[in-house]
Amino acid sequence: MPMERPASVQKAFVAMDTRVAITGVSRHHAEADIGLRIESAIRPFYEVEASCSRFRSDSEVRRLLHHVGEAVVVSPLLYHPLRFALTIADITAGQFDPAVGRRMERLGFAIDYQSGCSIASVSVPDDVTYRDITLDDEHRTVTLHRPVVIDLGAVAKGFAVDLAATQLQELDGFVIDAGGDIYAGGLRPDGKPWRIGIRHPRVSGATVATLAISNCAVCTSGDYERKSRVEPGASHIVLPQRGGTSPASVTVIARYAMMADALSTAAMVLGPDEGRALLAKCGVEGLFIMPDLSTFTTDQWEVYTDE
Amino acid sequence: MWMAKQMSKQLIAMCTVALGAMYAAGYAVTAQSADKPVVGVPSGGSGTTSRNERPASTHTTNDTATAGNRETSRPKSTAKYIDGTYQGSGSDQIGTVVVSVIIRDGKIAQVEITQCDTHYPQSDIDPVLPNEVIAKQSADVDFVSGATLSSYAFAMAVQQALDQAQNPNDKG
Repeated sequence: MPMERPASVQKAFVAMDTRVAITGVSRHHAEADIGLRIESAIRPFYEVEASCSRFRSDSEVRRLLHHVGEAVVVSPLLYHPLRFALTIADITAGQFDPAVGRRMERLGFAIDYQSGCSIASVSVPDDVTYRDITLDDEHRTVTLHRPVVIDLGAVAKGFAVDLAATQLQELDGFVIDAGGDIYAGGLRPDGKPWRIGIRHPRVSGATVATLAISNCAVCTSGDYERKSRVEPGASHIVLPQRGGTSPASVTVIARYAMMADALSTAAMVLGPDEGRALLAKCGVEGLFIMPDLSTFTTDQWEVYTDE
Repeated sequence: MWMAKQMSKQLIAMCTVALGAMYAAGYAVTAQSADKPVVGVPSGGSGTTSRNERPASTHTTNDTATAGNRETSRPKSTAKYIDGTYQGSGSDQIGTVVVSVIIRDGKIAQVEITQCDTHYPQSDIDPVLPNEVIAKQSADVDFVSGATLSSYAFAMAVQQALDQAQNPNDKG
């Protein structure tokens, strides 16, 4: 017996150094039950974080550094996001590279927000790449051929969002907003698709476009948050030494948050031309906003826009 | 060179496999309640319906009688944190937040924001923007996608709560 008005519950958490808000809507579940489902959905964030954080000396990814040259069996919480990141590295010929951890530390991105402690990997060379990491699908092992600080910042949060989404499928509608990386499932309480704004990269509090989506992820990478305190002009995305202008932000719509998360970062790194080609090749839609505030999109982007 | 369709399919398949692997490993905690949605249960009365704890194989503090009670639980294990619920607060230029951290089996189970009084500054930038991008107020949207926010207030609140949860037996 469906209830007249759908119950709607939102809870907010801190995970992965950001605010994660989860909203659940249902005509068939009591508010308390929606609340419990939301609490189940937040758990993957802490589990993925404990395995994939490069900021904690006791994380699974960090402990790999004690076993350089050995094949180490790892949990699926680490294996799958790492495998995905290495695939994107392969597709982009290493322009997107999860082996940038050491360089990120030197840009000042070295503090674990949970402990306040700084981490530094002194004996790690700067010139390592994703090719120094080998995976074995059958035995689920990771081998570091040289000491590599692996940074899964572009995939782990997306993976956690996707895991959280699997916990909420029975609801009529839900949204997981992990600090601006969003998965919107089902429909709003009024039966319409969720309306998602794209943040203006230079004017805080303003948006530049509105999407109407259902059962899709929307992730944005940008140069305007998490700036380096060490190197002026540098942000948390390590850009290669290439000519041309880098986008101020790239937003990607994809079926999975892990795809949208990784591909928005990869497109930032590749720049406008190669980035757009990458998104087209991967079958996802994207919006590029350049520093002069000019914009361009992939071919089917308008399918999702709602003015 | 990869074909476009093929690459899209491969990436989607990898995501599907990743989620399936987690389900197989027992991470899909609500799976058992999949076919019994709670209909019309008075709020507050459904507390146990969908709460499925992780399999008992994960290490516990062997202290079930006092789990969740900070005053009486003893740090027997070498887990990093002692089970219980801890509060912490933090503030910065955008405001103040209060968090409630739940430690279960020596690990962080959730960090809920229980109070949030933050105001992200509205920009005073000249309203005349280049006409390529039309800035709009975000009032008519449900959520906003942007580069990942981070806040010192959140970190401070989490650190304050976790300081209290610290297990003195932990060597790490």
